[in-house]
Amino acid sequence: MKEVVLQLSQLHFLSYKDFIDFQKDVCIGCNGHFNTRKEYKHYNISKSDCTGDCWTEEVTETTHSVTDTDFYRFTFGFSQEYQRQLRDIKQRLRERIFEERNNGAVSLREKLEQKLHLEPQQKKVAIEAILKDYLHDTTNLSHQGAREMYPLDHKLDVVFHNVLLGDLQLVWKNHNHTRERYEPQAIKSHTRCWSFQDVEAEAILELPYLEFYNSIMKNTRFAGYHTLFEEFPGVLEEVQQMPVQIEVKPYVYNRR
Amino acid sequence: MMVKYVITGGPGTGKTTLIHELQQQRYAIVPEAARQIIQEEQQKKEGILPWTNLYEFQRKVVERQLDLEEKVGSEICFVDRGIVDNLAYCRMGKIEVPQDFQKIDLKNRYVGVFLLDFLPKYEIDLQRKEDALVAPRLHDMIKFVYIELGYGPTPVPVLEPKERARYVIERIQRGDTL
Repeated sequence: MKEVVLQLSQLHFLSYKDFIDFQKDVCIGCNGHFNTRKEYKHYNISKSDCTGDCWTEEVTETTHSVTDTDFYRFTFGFSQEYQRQLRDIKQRLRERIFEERNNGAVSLREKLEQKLHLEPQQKKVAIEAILKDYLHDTTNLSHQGAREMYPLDHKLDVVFHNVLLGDLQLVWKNHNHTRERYEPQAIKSHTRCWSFQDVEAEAILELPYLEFYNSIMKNTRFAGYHTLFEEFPGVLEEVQQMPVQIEVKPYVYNRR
Repeated sequence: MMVKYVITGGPGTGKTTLIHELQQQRYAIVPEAARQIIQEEQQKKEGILPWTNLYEFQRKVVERQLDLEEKVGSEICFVDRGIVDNLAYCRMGKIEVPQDFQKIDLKNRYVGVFLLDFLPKYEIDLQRKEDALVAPRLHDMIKFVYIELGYGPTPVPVLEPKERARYVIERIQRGDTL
């Protein structure tokens, strides 16, 4: 499996501490901690430097395994079809914002010309600065010849990362590069905190986004989730019927 | 040339919090000169403070404020209290306006002025000793001097800092601050 190294910039609505907590031993429903047991594994790894010198180093890998058994472990995802639909929504939103900004700039310039009472040179500078700021998100910031880079695209990437609850997906997709491992590699919820259908064995549930979101996002650790949506109203309404597939199973602690 | 917007209001209106929020959102800022000077002077044995020597204090503030406003290097910037505020403080303290003032073109110095409404709870800190009863009078005096100089201060309601920052930016981007 490809190793994914977490960078802080990948997290947008969870703090790094919250992220590690969910990886390690925290219930997503009540934020309570599960009991864990540490297991250590020692082994040697070979290393070499650019001069060709080789040596071995002994390293210790720590695995934190949850020992409780009254919880579900789960992961979730969105079908290819819905991911494609999301890309379309994102593209439409981008085009709409570009159009709004370009039209808005024309009327803003007219308004400033009429209302700003400054010396002519001062007025010219002020108008250009205000317009530059107004168009900041839709201005290509890359150097000539380089790939175009608009701040709006970065914002939209983050918004849609949040729509897909990207920070939570990293909880099981990310294998951090320290020598700490967390078992089970999934989101954890006490059975009493589980708001969906109970299962006795591995199951795949399909729920509308809104239902999943209303249940999971009650957790106070997700307060940062809503910040960007305020700037792009309407996005959440567009996705609320999108189905979320949840892969869930009761956890069985495998005592070795 | 900088395009300067003033964030002002009486003591305890949340100016510094808003300024910090705007700074977080990529904007250049000018910190409040008076607060800096009080902090510095409080360290000295016989420091010049507004409650010991208001005239000399205001002179120092204007000098520092001009210096701070010169140093910013961005096109749009937000000033935590404009130089005009000092005029209001001088009038409230019934003292002569420092001579340096008379050389400054106060009418064309700022592109817009945002006047912050009072927060529900006024907090007194070490650098801010205005009595809670004086604060509203000072607020009105600040508003008055800006209007007298031809500015139309835009009122900013009490909101969360992020929302207040957005309110300010939206007013600028709609050309409503002039």
